[in-house]
Amino acid sequence: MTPLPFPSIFSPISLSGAFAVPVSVLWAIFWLSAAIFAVMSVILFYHWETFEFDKIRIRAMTLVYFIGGAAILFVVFNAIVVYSNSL
Amino acid sequence: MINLEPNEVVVTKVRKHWIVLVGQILLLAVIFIMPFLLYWLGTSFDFVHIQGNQSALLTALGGMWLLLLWINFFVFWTGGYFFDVWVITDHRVLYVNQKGLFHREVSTMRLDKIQDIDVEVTGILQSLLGLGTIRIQSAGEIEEFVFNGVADPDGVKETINRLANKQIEESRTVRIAQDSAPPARN
Repeated sequence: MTPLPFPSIFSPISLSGAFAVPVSVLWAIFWLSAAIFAVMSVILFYHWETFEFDKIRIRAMTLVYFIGGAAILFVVFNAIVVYSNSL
Repeated sequence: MINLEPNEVVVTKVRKHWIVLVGQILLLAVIFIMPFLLYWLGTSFDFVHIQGNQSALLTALGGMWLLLLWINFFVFWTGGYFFDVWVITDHRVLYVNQKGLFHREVSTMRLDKIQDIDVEVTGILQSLLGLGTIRIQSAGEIEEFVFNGVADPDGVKETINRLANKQIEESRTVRIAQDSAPPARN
């Protein structure tokens, strides 16, 4: 059969074959998410620090935000390591 | 962020009802579930076969998705809830209208200029949860303040009325005292 003059992306694809998600892609998404988290943290922290009152509530929310975010990143990091070892 | 006058005291701060946050959490929960639902459909109908530890992969991808939604919630909490506030002092009502993270408007209405305060509670949900809309009309430069989804609107109205009456009473006392003072002699 003569191959079609299109890149493979336009060829019919089979969804039934097993595929592995490239670990490098996972790491790239992980570092991108971590970068977004860092940038947004700076922006949010600036706003929280600028506000003059309700310091106690702001401190509590800051703690929840950073602990929650760090926990998620930690779990994701370990999950990627486990996934890459399973391939 | 807010500059108070000398001797001005913050009496209370009024924010939207906490149900606004619950609504946002529910919305984000639905958005969070979507990719997992698609994955479940894919595996159920035999479209998707992934090599390796599938639960680790799902945890990794789901975790990154959760992180983005986590950030989104705190952006909403900051811009749409916490900084969107009425600061009621013994002299004025300050309306900090936060529109997103980088747009904020602060308007002021003096208590002695307030002419009317309306409270509007519509529907069963608002009645049950005790939230509503407050509308303050003034004779000053800014004619109207409107705040939707306020918790305990009747209590807020009562507080503003009490402070406004006190303010008017105080300014009257000062005026009467000035009028009754003996004229200065040369």
